[in-house]
Formats: sequence, C-alpha cells, structure tokens
Amino acid sequence: MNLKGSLPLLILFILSEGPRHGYRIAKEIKTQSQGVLDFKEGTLYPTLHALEKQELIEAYTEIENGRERRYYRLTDAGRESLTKDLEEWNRYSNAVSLILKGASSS
Amino acid sequence: MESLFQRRQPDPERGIVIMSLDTDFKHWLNQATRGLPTQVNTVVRCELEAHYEDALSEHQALGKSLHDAHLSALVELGDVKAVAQALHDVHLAHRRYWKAAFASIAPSIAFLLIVFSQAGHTIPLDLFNYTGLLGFLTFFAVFYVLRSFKVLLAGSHQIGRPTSIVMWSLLCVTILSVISQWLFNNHVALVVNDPMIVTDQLFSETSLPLEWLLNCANVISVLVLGVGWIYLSDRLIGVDDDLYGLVKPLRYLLLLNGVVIASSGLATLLGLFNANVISVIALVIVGTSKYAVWTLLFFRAAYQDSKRPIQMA
Repeated sequence: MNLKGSLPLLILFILSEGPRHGYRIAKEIKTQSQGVLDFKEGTLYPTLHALEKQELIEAYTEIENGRERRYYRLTDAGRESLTKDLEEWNRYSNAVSLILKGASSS
Repeated sequence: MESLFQRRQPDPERGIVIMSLDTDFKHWLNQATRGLPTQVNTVVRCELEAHYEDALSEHQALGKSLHDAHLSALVELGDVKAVAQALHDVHLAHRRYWKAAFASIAPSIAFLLIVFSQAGHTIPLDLFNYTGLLGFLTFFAVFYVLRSFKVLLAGSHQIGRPTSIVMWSLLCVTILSVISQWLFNNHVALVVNDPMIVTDQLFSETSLPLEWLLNCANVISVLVLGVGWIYLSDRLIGVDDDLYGLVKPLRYLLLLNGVVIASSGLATLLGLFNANVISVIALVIVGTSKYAVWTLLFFRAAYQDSKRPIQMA
C-alpha cells in the first residue's frame, strides 16, 4: 500500500517510542503494519531530513559496531505536531469508517 | 556481517563478485547523491551505506546468497532517480528560486535601460548596437523565470496541457522577437525587448519580405502574449491561496500587464501611434513592477522552501 503523505506522521510516531536510526524506522513501519505499508526505503531519508529542517526531529551521531550512525529523536515541537496530527488522523479515519460501515451494512 | 566496504577477499573469484557488487551499490549511491552540497552529501552517503549494509546483513541472515541479498537490498532502497529527486527537493530546491530571483532582476534592468535610452539618450547611442545582447539577456531571464514558474506550479499542482502550451508560447514569442532583433537590429517590432520603437515604419515599402513576415508574426505574438499573461495569472491563483503573501499584487500586475500588451498590439495593428505609445509607457511601468514582484516572490519562495515539507512520490 502506498504511504502517500502519511510517512512523516508514521516517522514521528515511531520516534515517539524512542530514538532510532533510519533503517530501524523503516523496518518498524513495515513490521508494525504487518507488511501492508510498503515503501521504498531510500525515500525515507529525504523525509527525515525535511522533518529535521522543520525542527520536528533532531539528529545526533552514535558509534555502533565501530561505525558512525545517525540517530533521530523527537523534539518538543515534533511531539506537539504528532499529537495534533494524530487527532486529525483519528477524526479522518473515524469519518471514513462511518461511511464505509454504512456502505457495508446497506 | 560481511562488510563490502572494509573486507578484501583473498579468494580472487569471490573478490571479483564482491568488488562488482560494491561498484554496483557505489554507482547507485553516486547517482542518488549527485549534486548535493559536500556536507549533506557526506551525511547522506553515510546513512545510505549503513542502511544498505544492515539490509544486506539481514537478508544474508535469512539464508540468501550475497548476490541475492545485494539485489534485495537495492530493490528495497528503490528507484535511484526518485531518491535523488527527493533529496534535491529537500536540500537544493531553494537554489532554483535564488537563481530565478536573480534572473528576474535582469529584465527589470533591461526595461529601465530601454526607458532611459528612449527618454533622452542618457545612454550612449552605441548601446543600440547591442540591443540584441539585451534581448538575449532578457531571453535567458524569461527562460529562467518560466522554468521557475514550472517548478512553482509543479510544487503542489500538476501542470495541465493548456498552461504548458501558454508557458512555451511565451518563450517562443520571446525567442522570435530576439531573433528578429538579431537579424535586423532596426525598427522591427519587438514584443518583449524593445516595444517603444514600434513606429509607423513597421510596415514600410522598403521592408524586406522576411521583415514583413516577422513583423506580422510579432504583432500577432503581442496579442498572444497578452492573452497568455492573463491566462497565466489565473492559473497562478490556483497554485497557492497565498503565494507567499504576494498573490494579489502579482495577480493584478499580471492582468494589467496582459491588458497593456494586448492594447499595444491592437494599437499597432490599427496604426494608432499615440495609443500605442501610451500603452507602451504603461507596459514599461507595469512590466518593471511585475519583474520586481517576481523577484520578491522567488526570494520569498527560496526562504520558505527551506521549511517546506517535501511531496512524497
């Protein structure tokens, strides 16, 4: 399934559980959605960088197995944005569910 | 894991395979990061290399051969062009706007030079020998501006065929007027570069057939240009509700610009010399203001772009 537009929200949500590097974020999105949400992992990094520019997340480096890795964590602004986006998403998905439930019961 | 970047194999055959895979991935990496600023390039390469190595390791742990693991990792990373484009959108888009902003200053200068030179020969007469150069400068500026419009329009909306036709028509009209100026460097009607020298000599008995042809084409182009500006202004309104706070001035200036260009063309066609002069003076004022607003628009766009969320494919 195409992630069109919802990747930033998913990234913010994954990072709300703690700092992660890019590869782990990609794997968690795929694992937690049981493989339904699939995307090209290379495009994860531009999205991460865009979120970083918006100051919703921040990056720091750590040494892991002898090599530098770039980790990302949520900022306060990111946490606020996530709360707002989740509310918006819940409202949206509830509205869609209401319509689809109506369609399936008729 | 078997790192492709640190390990050197003693086995020559296996070594060749690994070097080939290594080159394969390096090629992907080079394409994805081409043109990025050095500092960004280093960070992105480091991230993508680590990502690739993790993926390779995971696929090998699942029992895949090194070759298959490599292919799976590359497939998961995705189309290199899409990745490169997305990286450019995040890290380089503002440069296009800076370029457009600087380019859009040029037509303003060209317009002002023409006004001063016509108003009282404050610029040495020799400059007229270089009007072709001015035209060429304008051509490049307009080209950049149109290209940037395309970027701007494509940012949140797809460009429809009519808009595309209008934009390319405007460019063709400009090229046509530059060519005519370059060929004759005389009182040939000029649409964009030097509309003030449109006089009654436009269609004289001494004109060459090719001059007649170009003059006719230019007069028609004037009308097309006017209509084009009006259409483009309406399209721009649909791009963004606010357009960096400049939507209203730009809309009115473009509309006004379209009207005065069209009226200039009509006056030329009907042989109304005075009406044409008035239209042309209005055109110079509106045209210069228009380029000034564009310049401001692109500067603001460049600034805003650094914080603009990217569009995911």
